[in-house]
Amino acid sequence: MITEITTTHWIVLAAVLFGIGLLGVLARRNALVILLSVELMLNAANLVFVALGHHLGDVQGQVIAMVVMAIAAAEATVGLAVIVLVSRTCRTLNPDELTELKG
Amino acid sequence: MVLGGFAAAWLLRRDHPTPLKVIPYECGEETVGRTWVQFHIGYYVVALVFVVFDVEAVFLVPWAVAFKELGVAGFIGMMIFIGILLLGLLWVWKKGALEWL
Amino acid sequence: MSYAEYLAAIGPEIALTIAALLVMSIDALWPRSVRAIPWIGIAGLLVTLAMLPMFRAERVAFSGLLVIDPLAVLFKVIALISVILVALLSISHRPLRGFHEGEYHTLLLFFAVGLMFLVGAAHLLMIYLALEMVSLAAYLLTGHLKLDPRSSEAALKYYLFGALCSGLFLYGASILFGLTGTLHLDGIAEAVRASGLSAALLAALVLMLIGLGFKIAMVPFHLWAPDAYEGAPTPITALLSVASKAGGFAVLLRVLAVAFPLEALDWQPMLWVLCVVTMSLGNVIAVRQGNIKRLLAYSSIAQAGYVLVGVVLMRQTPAGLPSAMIYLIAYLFMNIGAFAVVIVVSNALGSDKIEDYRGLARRAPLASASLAVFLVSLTGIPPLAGFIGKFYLFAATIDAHAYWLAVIMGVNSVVAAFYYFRVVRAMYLDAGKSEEPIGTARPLQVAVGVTLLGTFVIGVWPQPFLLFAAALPLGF
Repeated sequence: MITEITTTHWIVLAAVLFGIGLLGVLARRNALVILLSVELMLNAANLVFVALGHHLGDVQGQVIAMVVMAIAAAEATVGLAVIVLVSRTCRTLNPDELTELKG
Repeated sequence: MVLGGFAAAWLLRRDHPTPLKVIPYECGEETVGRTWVQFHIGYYVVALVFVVFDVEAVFLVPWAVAFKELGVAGFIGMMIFIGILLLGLLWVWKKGALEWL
Repeated sequence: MSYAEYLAAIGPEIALTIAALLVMSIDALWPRSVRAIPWIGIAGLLVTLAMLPMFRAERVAFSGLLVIDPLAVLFKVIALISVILVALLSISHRPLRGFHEGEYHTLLLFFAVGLMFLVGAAHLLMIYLALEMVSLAAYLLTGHLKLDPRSSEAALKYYLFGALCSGLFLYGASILFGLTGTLHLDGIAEAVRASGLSAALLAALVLMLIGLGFKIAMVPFHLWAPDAYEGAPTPITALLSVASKAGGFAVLLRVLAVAFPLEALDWQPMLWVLCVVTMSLGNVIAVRQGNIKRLLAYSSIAQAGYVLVGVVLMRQTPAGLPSAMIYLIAYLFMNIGAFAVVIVVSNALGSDKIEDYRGLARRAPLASASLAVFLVSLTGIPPLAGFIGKFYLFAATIDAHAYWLAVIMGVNSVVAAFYYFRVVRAMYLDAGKSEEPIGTARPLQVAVGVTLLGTFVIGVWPQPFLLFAAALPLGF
């Protein structure tokens, strides 16, 4: 039985989250879901930063996580704006169905 | 293991879909109209602007906690930060993205 | 270090940020002065460029987040010159005229600010922050032509790929943080030297290479590039292929040279393979392109492969890093020049197809001659800039006894000559449908003139550039 949550547990949880995110990006065919999956990956990295910062007794980990959160929000905003734009001009959110550009 | 669990649950469960059970929300109001309605594009713009400004608050909290230690330089720095945010808000406002539908 | 010293370290960046905020305010408050906006932006960029010599003293600022060293200054010059040229191109690009110009130029300036921070960043969080700033501006600029589905599609593909790569980069950074307890590049190097090679370290290196390989469109992380380059407004294509690539190279150089000491982890074989694949694949696919923007997209993938040769050899010979820098500077002028002529043609014909370039020499003799010069230079024929760049890359390979690399690069140059000359042949030897002359707008004339001058000067008189590049210390 797990009696205590150690840093290792956090790292494993983060790795699993990262894996789910990566799988989502590679397997799903909807831009919105891909965006969600990428956010999951960023949060996995954040979890590692916070857990390791705690483990090392270094406040840097939390600072990094906060900055990353702000950047991730900006990134998500730009992504959503692009997705709204595409859904209006191209009428689909499946990157595979967007075939205007080909060579 | 997992599949066994699913199989057992499938064998054991009672399956009586009554009309009340198959509606999307089991409690509360029945939805009016189609659920996949097109939201007005204005909602998206406001939501996007909200997300950006909302998350910037992340930097205000630690600053407020360490306000005394950071002193005047920290205050000026944060005022510049907020000033740039305000400029962004002004830009959004003047571009008409905040006009309510 | 006091706040005043901090501010003194990033004077040019502050000036450029103020210029960007000014352009943004003018755009919001006085919509009528929209015609002046591009010029205000260019003025801000020029002022920043003029400030750089005053702020080149070497120092470490913001507790090691940023460094100002010769490499950073050189890359800032490259970044600013390319953004200025792109701003000039944008003024006369027909689809962009009068279409949310304030927004466009604000984003262009913020892109430049991000790039200036990127090339001086010496901390992985700072690198991530600057990388995102550059990328976010680039996504929006790519999708700027909102009414054109191709532009939106390019932005979406670029965005999805970029977001994935930035996520991988960040996870790599978090692994490094776990291994070394720091994100400072020199601190990472110390810890890595002490601990030696491990699977986690290798994973971190691979993840970071993916994140940076995306920025320089290195195969196999180049998949976004052809679509994004084709769909983006043409000046932005030039921006992505030059400025954003140069920023990616600056970080790649710094991360590899500072954070990953060769004695702990030999990244050279891995990069060697990526370099060879990048130039070969870029050149081979470029051969069958019918759209000039797509052709230049694949050619710029191949060109990044050539620059990578210098990066691979950076630790084996002192000639490696300077040769990569010379090639990047030469590439800046010849590639932006080529895109300037593409804009001249697309303004007149509304087309980027190579078949429409038939008989262009009669309709626009000067523009055609310029494009021919740029393409010949990209091929690497004397006495032009591209030749000097390739010459020093070859010299570096010989110096490092990397003969296979030299042979592969030689074969690639021959393949590249084939498709570059196909365009030249279309312009000069094939008969066109129309004889009507094509005019060139004044800002485009300036841009073509400057890039031509750069291409010739580096080709004929490369000594000053060589001296400057050779003065770059290897460990930075």
